[in-house]
Amino acid sequence: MKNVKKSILNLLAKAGLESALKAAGAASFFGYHQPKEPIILKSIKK
Amino acid sequence: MITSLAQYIASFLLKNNAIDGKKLDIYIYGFEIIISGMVSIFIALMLGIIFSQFIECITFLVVFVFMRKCCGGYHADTYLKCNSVFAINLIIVMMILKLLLNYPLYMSLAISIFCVIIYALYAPIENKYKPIKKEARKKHKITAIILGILFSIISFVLYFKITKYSIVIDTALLSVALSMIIVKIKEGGDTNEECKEINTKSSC
Repeated sequence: MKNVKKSILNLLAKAGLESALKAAGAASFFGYHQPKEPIILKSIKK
Repeated sequence: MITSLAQYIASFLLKNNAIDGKKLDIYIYGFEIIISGMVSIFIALMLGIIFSQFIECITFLVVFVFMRKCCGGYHADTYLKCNSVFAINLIIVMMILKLLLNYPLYMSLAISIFCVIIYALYAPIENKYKPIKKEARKKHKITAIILGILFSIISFVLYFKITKYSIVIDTALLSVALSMIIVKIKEGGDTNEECKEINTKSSC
């Protein structure tokens, strides 16, 4: 059960990171609102 | 609310050692993107059901998202305004689809040409909280023009088969182009120059 929880959390974390990386560098992502892009994201994308 | 939810998810993951604390901001940003995207999809699906134009709404969303990714354009300062603007935009498109009785080919071609010209002139519209590198700017412009031409060709082909999908694609292209023009009018001068001045507000 603990392993299942851990895998779900890891999957969720991976989804968060992937979407942040995909959004980085794009002119816009999805709707009419744009959250502030973290500066650290650019260095990670390199 | 979306920001708070994203922060809550990220801190929950941090407590459970699923993420690196140094990258917390990135995860919050990522979850904000996911949640706001889900809200946009939900709005599109709901309006699709209400107007009985489900596939048309999805088509609009696909064209709109692809074009906005490389073109940029108007951004509201809160998620509430953002979702309201998106919903109003989609309602207008659905109303056009319901009420437009005659859609001449020259109008479809004129919209396509106008949009591609706007993309060629202004894409990408840079957001001051999301600066784009010079080399990436060129890439976005080329992508915007290619995608604009591609969607215009699809719209042209569909015009003779299923005209309403041609209208949906054209209105999505036009929505993106108009949101770019709005920024240009609003900010007057060169948007790219103004966007270099990053200030302390959390969103745009």
